[in-house]
Amino acid sequence: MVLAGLAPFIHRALGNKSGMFFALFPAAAFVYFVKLVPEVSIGNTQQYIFDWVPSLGISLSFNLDGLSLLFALLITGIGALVLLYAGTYMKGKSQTDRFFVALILFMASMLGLVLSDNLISLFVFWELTSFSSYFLIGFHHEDKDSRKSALQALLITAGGGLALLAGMILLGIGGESWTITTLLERGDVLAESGFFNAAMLLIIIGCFTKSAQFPFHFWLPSAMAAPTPVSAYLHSATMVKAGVYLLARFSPIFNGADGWHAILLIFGGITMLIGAIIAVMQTDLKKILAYTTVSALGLLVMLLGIGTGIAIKAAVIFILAHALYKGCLFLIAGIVDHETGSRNIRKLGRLFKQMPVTASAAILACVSMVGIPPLFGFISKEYSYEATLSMIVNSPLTTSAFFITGVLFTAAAGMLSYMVFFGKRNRLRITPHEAPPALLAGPVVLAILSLTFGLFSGLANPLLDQASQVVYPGNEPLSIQLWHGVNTELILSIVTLLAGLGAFTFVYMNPRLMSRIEVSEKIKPSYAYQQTMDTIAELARSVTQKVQNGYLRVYISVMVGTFCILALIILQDFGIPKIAVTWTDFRVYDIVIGVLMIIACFYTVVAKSRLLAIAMLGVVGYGVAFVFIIFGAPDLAMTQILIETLTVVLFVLVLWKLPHYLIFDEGFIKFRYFLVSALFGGIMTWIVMLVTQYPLDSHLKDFFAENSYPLAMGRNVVNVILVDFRSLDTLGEIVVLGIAAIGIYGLMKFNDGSEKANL
Amino acid sequence: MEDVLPFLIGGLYAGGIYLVLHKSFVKLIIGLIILGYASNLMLFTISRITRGAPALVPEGATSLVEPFADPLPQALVLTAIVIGFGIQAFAIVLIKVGYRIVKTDNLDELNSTDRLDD
Repeated sequence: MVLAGLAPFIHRALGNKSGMFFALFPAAAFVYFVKLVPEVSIGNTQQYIFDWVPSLGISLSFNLDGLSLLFALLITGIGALVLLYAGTYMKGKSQTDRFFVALILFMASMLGLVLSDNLISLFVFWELTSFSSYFLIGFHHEDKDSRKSALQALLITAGGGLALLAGMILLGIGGESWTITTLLERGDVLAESGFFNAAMLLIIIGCFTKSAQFPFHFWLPSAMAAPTPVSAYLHSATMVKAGVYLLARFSPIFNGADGWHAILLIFGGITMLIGAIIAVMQTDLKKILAYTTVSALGLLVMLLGIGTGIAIKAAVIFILAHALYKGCLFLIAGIVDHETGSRNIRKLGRLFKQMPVTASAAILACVSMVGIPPLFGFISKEYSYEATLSMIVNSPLTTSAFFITGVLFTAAAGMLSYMVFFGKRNRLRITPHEAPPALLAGPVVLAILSLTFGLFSGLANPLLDQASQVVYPGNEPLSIQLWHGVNTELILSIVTLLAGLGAFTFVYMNPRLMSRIEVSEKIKPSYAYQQTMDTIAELARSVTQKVQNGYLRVYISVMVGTFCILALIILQDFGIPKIAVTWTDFRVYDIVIGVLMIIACFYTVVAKSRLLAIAMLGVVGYGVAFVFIIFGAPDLAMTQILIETLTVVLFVLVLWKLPHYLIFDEGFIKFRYFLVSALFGGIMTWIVMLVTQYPLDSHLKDFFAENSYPLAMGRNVVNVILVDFRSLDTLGEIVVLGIAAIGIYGLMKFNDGSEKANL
Repeated sequence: MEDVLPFLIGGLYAGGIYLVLHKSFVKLIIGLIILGYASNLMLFTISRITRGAPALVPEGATSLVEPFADPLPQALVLTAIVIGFGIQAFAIVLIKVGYRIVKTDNLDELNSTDRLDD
């Protein structure tokens, strides 16, 4: 585990090396997990706990039981084969180092996901798989479709991840524990907490998005834009099974609830049928495989939904069987594509002679997929039939759904094997060769495993038994056998097979008929997805256009308005301050200056000519200087007068040549401005009056009064503050002025090329 | 005067905001200048004003004797005035150069970078 986690970093250090080297890591992990099989098989579990965020009850705890081990073995085993395969497959393509980083990161997070025993760390790993798969699907990032598919997969799985997170939090709060093993024993505590149904529903949504269940199934076929090793690994054996894994993991808690059975049965069944039906309508090898995968995932969900002991057994067996044959077939599709340059089954044909090994592996895998003895797929199929037949209610419905799927699977398997490797002549321009051993190793090993587990079914028995015990505590011991004797399941299997062959013959003989079937775009869920995405983008655009409309006055109105509202809310607690005019202190020139400034300000505002406005502005500025003089601030007054003079001079000099003074807004709009500004002015008056009514405690005043002469030898305290006590501020001020001067100089020099700067 | 100042400040604020809301760039800057006056006056006023008593230490004494005006807000306002001038000068030149290039003083025609292309 630690090794797998470090792999991406080791890779970065080593740069671009062959897949063979990387395959060693999962292979080592695989061996490690295989060693653990005997121990886990007798019911022991392994636990490793590292504290992560103890205050929140989050720890990196790993728990290895039958179910985890089954998945861990699939992940590392198939992972090693896929890495080996990818090393050759990706040879000569650019950015393979990135590819390996993402693939190994994915492998590590997937492993973390199935081993995690803490809800939060499980979720973190879950999201990590979504992200790393995003990079893998979008590997051909120059291709627009590839990017789109990657984004689609990410949005759907990450969106489902949010539902899952919410579900897990409810689960954790309701069950009062964040540890999965503890939670599994606390189903009744959860049921009492009232979060039971909500948590169940949210977790189901999360799992459905990940495992491509209807109506979220469409991302999986789109994700076939990824390089083939990725499809083989993520989209058949591991990532899509994460949802199934989680459903199985929480099955002991939820199994028995009505909603659980109904939802899983219905959606699993629909997905299974839809996937199988669409699969036989495809011509692209990878698309056929993708839709049969969707269908297989549907079957798994359905089996979990049936929830009886036998159904769980069937599900566990099918997980293994499917991973073996589907991983193999994906890799073969990659080989065919790699060697012939085409994945279209109408173009391919009679490849057996050129590629005997590939063809043999493919045939084995297809036979397992169809469920013909002695392959492992046969056992899985028998158990699935047994599961549907033994249902108390709805048995005919599920059995017939499974029957139809089986028929279509047979047809699809025929398309994958017969049409590619035998059948009519191919229409390829190049003569394909057998693939190199590194490419062949993966599919061949997987195909042989399918055969071995079928013939010597006892081999996988202990592990699968433990896995089914985990999902369904107290399940009867599993003992899988190849030959059950003649019973209903066997007869059904044979009928399925024959019907499937019939269906395949029909499809094969009438290629045009199948290609003519077109499903309207509008009823596909992918259409709904597209519509939603478009609507969101459109909404964002229109909101942005409304909020950020480019009109400065609207921004200012909003700011000032917000300020006014907030200020009014706060000020209403203080009431209106008293206006106590003390006539004893009355001086005529005070009033004269005040009134003069108000008038000047008014004229500045309403002036029709720019010059008048600037002149009035000057009057206001000098008025301010007078106020400073009256109230004992001669330095301020001096500065104000100087600056005011400079401003007015600059204004007149610079703006002399501007043509006319713009007066645009009329009538009602003007009145609205007036209201806003009058309100703002009123509030400011109110605030100033309020503040001056309360006593001021300024010990700084006394500090400066005491210390400015003894410490700084200055009699003008204001100056002492500026150049001594707060000299850094003054330095900053000078810097600001300097920057302004540089800016002005730059602007003066600025020339748009047509005219010389002429100021 | 102490009673008049709040109204004066309110009036200046109102005038400043009113001008800033206009479309003309020149009015925008005049408005900003007026807002600057208002803010300086407010800072000056809310830290209490003392009539006719500058913060000057008399000859022979080592510290100020009450009553005297609080020197700290004065120092702050002084800084604000100077920095305000820097901004004004920059803005004024900006109008000039902007006008020379885009031939408009209308703020509503200067918003192309703030709008989405459609």
